[in-house]
Amino acid sequence: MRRLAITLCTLLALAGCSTEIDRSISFVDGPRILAVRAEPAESLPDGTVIYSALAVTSTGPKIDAPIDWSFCTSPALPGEDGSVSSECVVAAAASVAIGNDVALGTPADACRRFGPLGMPTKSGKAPTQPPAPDASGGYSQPVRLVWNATLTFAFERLTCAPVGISLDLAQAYRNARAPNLNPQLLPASDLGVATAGSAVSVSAAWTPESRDSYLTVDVQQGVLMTNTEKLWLAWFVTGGTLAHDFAVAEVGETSTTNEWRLPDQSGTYYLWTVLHDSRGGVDFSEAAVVVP
Amino acid sequence: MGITLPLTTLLSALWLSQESPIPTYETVVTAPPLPVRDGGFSVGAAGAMALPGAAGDLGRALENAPGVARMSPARDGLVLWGSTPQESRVLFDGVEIPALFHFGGWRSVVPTEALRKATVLPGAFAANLGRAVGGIVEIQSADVSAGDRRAWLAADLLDTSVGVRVPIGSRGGFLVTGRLGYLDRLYGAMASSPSQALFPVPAYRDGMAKATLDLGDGRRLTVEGLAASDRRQVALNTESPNGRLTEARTRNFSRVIVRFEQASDHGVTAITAFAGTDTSNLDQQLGLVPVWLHASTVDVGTRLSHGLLFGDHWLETGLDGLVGVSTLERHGSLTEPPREGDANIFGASPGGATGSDVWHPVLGDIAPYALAEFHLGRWQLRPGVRFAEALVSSDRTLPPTGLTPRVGFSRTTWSVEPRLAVAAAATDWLDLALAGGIHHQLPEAADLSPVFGSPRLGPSRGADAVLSATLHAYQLQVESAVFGRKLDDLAVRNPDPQPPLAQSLVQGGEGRSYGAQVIVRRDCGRKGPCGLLSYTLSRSLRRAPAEAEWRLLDYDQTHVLTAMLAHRWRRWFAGARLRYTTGMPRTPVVGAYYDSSAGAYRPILGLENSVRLPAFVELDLRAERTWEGDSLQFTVSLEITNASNHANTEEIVYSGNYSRHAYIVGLPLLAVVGFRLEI
Repeated sequence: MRRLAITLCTLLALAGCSTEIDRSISFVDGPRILAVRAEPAESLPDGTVIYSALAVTSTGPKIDAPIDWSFCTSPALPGEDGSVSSECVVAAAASVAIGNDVALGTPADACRRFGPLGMPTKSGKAPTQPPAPDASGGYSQPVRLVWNATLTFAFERLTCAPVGISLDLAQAYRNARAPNLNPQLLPASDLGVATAGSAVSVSAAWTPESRDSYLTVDVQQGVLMTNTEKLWLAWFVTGGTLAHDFAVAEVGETSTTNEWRLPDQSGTYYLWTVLHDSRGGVDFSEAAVVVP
Repeated sequence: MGITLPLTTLLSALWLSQESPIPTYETVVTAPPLPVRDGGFSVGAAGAMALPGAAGDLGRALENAPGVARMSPARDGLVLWGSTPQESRVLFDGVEIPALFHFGGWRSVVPTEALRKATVLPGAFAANLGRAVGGIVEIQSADVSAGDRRAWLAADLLDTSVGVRVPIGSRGGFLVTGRLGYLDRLYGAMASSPSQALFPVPAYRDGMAKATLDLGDGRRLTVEGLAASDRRQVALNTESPNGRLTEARTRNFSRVIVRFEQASDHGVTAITAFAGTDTSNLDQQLGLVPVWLHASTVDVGTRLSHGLLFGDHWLETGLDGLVGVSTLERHGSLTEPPREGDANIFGASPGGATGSDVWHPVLGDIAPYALAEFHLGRWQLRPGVRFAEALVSSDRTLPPTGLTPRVGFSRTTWSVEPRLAVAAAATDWLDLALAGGIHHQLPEAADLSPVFGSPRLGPSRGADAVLSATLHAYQLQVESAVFGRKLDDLAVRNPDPQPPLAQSLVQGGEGRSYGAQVIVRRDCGRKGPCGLLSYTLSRSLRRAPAEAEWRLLDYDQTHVLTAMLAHRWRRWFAGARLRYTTGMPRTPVVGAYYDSSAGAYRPILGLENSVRLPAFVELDLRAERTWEGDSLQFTVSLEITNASNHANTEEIVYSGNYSRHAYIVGLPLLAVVGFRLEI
């Protein structure tokens, strides 16, 4: 209903829809966590995952940020429009680690809380509705990060057994599927020194294997389906402006470029590139330019 | 003026066909005409064409009615006494249709030239009407009769409509009309390609045909057909892939209606049968989350009534039946499109959770009813009762799984809906009335999915009451009323964080609305001034199961004020309308968190619907000049919407990290020139 107002906005724009507000989030003007890479990108419950946070400030990277890590344990309510439940947003969960790079064990009941298995119910009680999958058919364990009064959520993709399908299909799925892998950015080229106020062409490239194929189960038809990931790229800078903040990679594309107009003031400025795949995989890179 | 005596439907039609072509309002006249003042409001088609602010549209003229809130930004229907548009029903010649307006709310689904009148009943309606816990909007087609020969052509910036009425021999008449909206094409010719992608305009068309044959001895046969089509496309590109929106919406519906009426000195018998199809498609990609919702329904129904006039009294019995067989296919986000009460934020991409389902519900009811109208001196009593047996059926009780066989269900529920209206002519210039009733409404077919809703849903329930006083003084009529409405068993989101299987929705929502309304009006004559002043003070609340606190309805507007003044002088007619309404509620954003997987900030919400948009103020002007010849009439009109160019806030838009906000404002001054040629 209210989102339909987007249409209204566009219709009103015919005559003068006023939306003079910056929707860009690419300018880093304070402490932020721009991305969290999990290795492996997909894990079984009880599996160990090494998380690396890309924590930055307006002056550059923060490699030893004392990030407070915890697991979210409440699935979103039906109708909640965020990516996590409001309970996880508001309430501080028990801390499981402090640091920039941490190793955490995925909760053993993750596939019940956030996956297709659903929580066990007491005898005589109706079974509960399991959380719905994401658009790629997968399930994720939310991980909560608090640093410098900023709140960030990362999502570890879960390997959960499919439910509601025949044994043969489940066996075929287990045999054919492969866990998600993080996409891989190629090393960024050094930007060196550039003139204040000039426009610098920056580029990002990734391996062809970054765009995985993956299997999903069509439970209505009882068949396996092969899908291809989507990739997109986000750019962040500590100064100046970018021609665009995001780029969606077309199929077959393995690189993209952007234009960074540098600030007029001298200093060292940073550019971060974050590559996402549609199953939660992430990679990131960093480059710096010196404006004399 | 005291309370009028009831008239038969046919006598009523004769009377109404003689109504002035000049703006005329009248209090509710249903079939049969019921003079009890129950908060209703009618507008004649001929009069609506000249009303400032209505752009020549009869449906939009109903926005002037008391008890009617300003349409929401989605403009998806009228909000009556604090009920959502989905809780009210739109009837075309007594037959339910899916919408009053084309997309965008610019036009009703039938051209005004093909209509006789429109009535809005915000609640407390009689027992011959049902299936709505909110209100009823009834539009009646124009009468066609032998000797009626006329053609018209009307055009303006939005659309062109043509129509013709011709006699069928000496005993009948035929009317056919068609309309094509072209604002989207005009704009397409003028705007650049990026602008066309960014600024879609709804495309619509509709057509109607009606034939009436007088069979003699008070018998009349009417056959009608109605069809309307809407299409809208949106492409909104933003820097973030999570903010990108592509959306295509279509809606088509049709109805074929056959009605036989027989009138005598003692009463009227009417038999109506109808069938139709409704299809609606939503295909959307909001960020990375796809949504499609395709629905098609075949509706079949009948309405039988027999009314008897004995002395001063009226007795009517009838049967009202409707069944809809639907096929729905939905895939994608669980929260898109959002429901009333969902605390979503403009521009925020939905959560990543998705589902998929195909289901085939059958919904219907059959409702025998009886109502009477007794005149006892200065008193008038209108008791009525409606017995409704509702059928809720579908082919799926659990979410689809590969091994589990599809198991359907079918439930019937009986409900009794008593209605009562009492009126008294206290003096020659004051009428008092009290009306109320109990109503039920079937669940929406789209809510019966075990994935997106719940197959357990049954009818929701409403009870309403209105106390009104009508004064007739000089040439003014003053109608005031206080009203209240209580809704129960509404389908709402399940508040349980781990709801039972196939129960994403539960039937425990509650609603309350109450308020007061007053309208002062002077009907327009063939010359001189006329106008109205309409004001509604109301509060509409909703509560989910197990919640202690009530929240404001998404559509709540505390104050709704409309002032309209017009003057006819010779061949000129000019008028102005001023509207003031309280801004709609919104949920504040109190913070944000970063979703590193989506690469986007998500809002942290405050108390739901605890802030409001700024108030809405708009001044509309209209002037028209008519030239009349021996056999033709030509009218040129100029309508200026928002003549003061007031920047009305329609929505709040946030910065990417939700730390700042701005307002989206509505239409600036917009001038529309149109003409109408009648032969």
